[in-house]
Amino acid sequence: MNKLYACITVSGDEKQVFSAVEVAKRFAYRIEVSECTVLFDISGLEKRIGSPKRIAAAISQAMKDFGLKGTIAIAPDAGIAELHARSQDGITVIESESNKPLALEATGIGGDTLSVFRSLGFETTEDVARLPEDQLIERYGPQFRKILDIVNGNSGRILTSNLEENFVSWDYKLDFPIEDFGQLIFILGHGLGSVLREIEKKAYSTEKVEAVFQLENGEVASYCLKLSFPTLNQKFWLRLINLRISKQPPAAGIVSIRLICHFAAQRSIARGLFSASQPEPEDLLVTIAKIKNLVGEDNVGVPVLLNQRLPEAFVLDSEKVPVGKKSDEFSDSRPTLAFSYFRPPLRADVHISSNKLARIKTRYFSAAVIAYSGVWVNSSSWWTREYWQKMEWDVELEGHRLLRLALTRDGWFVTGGYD
Amino acid sequence: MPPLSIVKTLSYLQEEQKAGRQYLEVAGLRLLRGSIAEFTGPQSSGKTSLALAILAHMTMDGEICSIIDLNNSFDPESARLSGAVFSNVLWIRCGGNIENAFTAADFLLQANGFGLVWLNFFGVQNGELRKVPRSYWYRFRVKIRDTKTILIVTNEQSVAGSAAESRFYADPYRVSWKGAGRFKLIKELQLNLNGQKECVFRPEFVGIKADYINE
Repeated sequence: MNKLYACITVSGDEKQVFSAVEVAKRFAYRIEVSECTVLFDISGLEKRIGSPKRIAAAISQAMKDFGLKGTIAIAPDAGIAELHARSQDGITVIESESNKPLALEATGIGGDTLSVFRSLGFETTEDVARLPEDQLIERYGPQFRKILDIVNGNSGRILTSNLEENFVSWDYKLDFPIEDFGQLIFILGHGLGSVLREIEKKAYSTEKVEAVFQLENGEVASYCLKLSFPTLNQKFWLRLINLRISKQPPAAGIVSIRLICHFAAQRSIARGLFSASQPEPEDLLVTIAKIKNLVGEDNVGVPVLLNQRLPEAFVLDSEKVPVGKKSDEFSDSRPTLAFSYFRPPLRADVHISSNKLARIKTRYFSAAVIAYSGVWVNSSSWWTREYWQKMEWDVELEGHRLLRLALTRDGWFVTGGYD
Repeated sequence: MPPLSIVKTLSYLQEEQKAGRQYLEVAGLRLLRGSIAEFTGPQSSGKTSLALAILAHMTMDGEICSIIDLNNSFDPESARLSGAVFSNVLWIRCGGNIENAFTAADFLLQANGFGLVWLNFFGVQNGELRKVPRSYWYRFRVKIRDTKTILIVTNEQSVAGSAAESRFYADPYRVSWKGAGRFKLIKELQLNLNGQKECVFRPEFVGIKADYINE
């Protein structure tokens, strides 16, 4: 892919430079900002926009949108683009194998040499290009090679991105719409690999990846995956994207793909020698995603207690994942009598004798009541119709079986047991 | 002179396999890491309470533990009273689907790093679990052998068979109440806990105390 750079020069006003950066962000993510110029890498835009002239027109239009006035230069060399933008008004476009004359002052030639060239009638780089290189170097020394390189359109300048970027993207346009997402995995894997490599080069990592699909029917299907930790594991990201999209596949054929990876600081993976056993974060998330696909999104998560006086004051928070953090208050745990629910509750026939519970019969067992406590009511939702409607007893049956018995509008039920 | 043999005795092989493996000691129990442990016994025998005590110990220590709740019977309030740290617990509700429960266990063991995977079969009819091929349990046993994970199974009867490294049988023999009249409270469930199979636990009587939120 041929390299192509664009440079915008504006007046030194801070607001103008800020707007120029916003313009540059529309076209590139590798951006270098200095005093009044914004230099950016637009390599590959030919495929999306067209020839360098059309790219220049698009940049010019973007500048108009921002109400920005300045000069634009596009060249295959970053240094040449910058020099043209600084020295020439309007739009300058230099195609890959051509060069445009540049005023000699702009090349950085020393004052004495410049006055000699001027006295000889040489005003632009085009004039200097006609002179024999060997003789010029012999006369002005090896440092003049740098000027000659600029004259030849090869400044050797490297774009050093100094703008704090927050994402890298990758685009791919398909030749024809594809409805089965499975067929795109290979292409997606390739794109993911390239963006992750780009992030790695910058010594960053990512914890947020967006996959945006342009659909055949004109709609856009967007999937955003955000983790609690940064990772550059391509296989892991691909698995997550695959699991997520297979859950909610796009409604129509996919026409184009865009992957966006947001930058994040790298993860420190050092753990103590005596640290507790934990799955790798990637493995944990993939496992949870696989189990969610199996048993349903709402059935996998972390238990959360509710601060309410309701019969079952807890929920399963499917958004949370276990963190594996050691508790500050570590105590030697002793067994505490645990309760478990019967789902659904067992319908029961209760025999009452002398105003006391005497016998309980369900489809699975029938036993005499040895002892019981209650009645207990634990609903405080007095504003609902269920206000104090559920009465419960803790019951000990023959064989030391401990159960919870409930009386509701629908009759007697065994709601659970102590175990 | 006894005949020379290159075949090691079975007991020697067993000892060799256990060499270098770690044990977890909690609530008077000693469980081998990287193995299957079964807690069996009739209803109200305290097996869930013992499993919760282990869960609480491990989650307090920062290990990530998972509960595969076959019948959605798990009560987080009981877990809190045991001392479990919820931010280290992964709760999976299987809605009575045994196949899903086993597949989920397979995924968790594959992830390699969970401290505890608890297969909670509370409320399942024994006939249902007998339909599960024994090969599942051997597969689990092989998978966790070289890991730190403990797979705990709680059920009325043993289902893992010889794939389980240790098995505990709990039998309730007394329920104590405190207070009097209609509003007395359960004080303690006393049970006879027997270690079956390869188990370092000495059979003894165990008392599981009841805890109340607003006592």
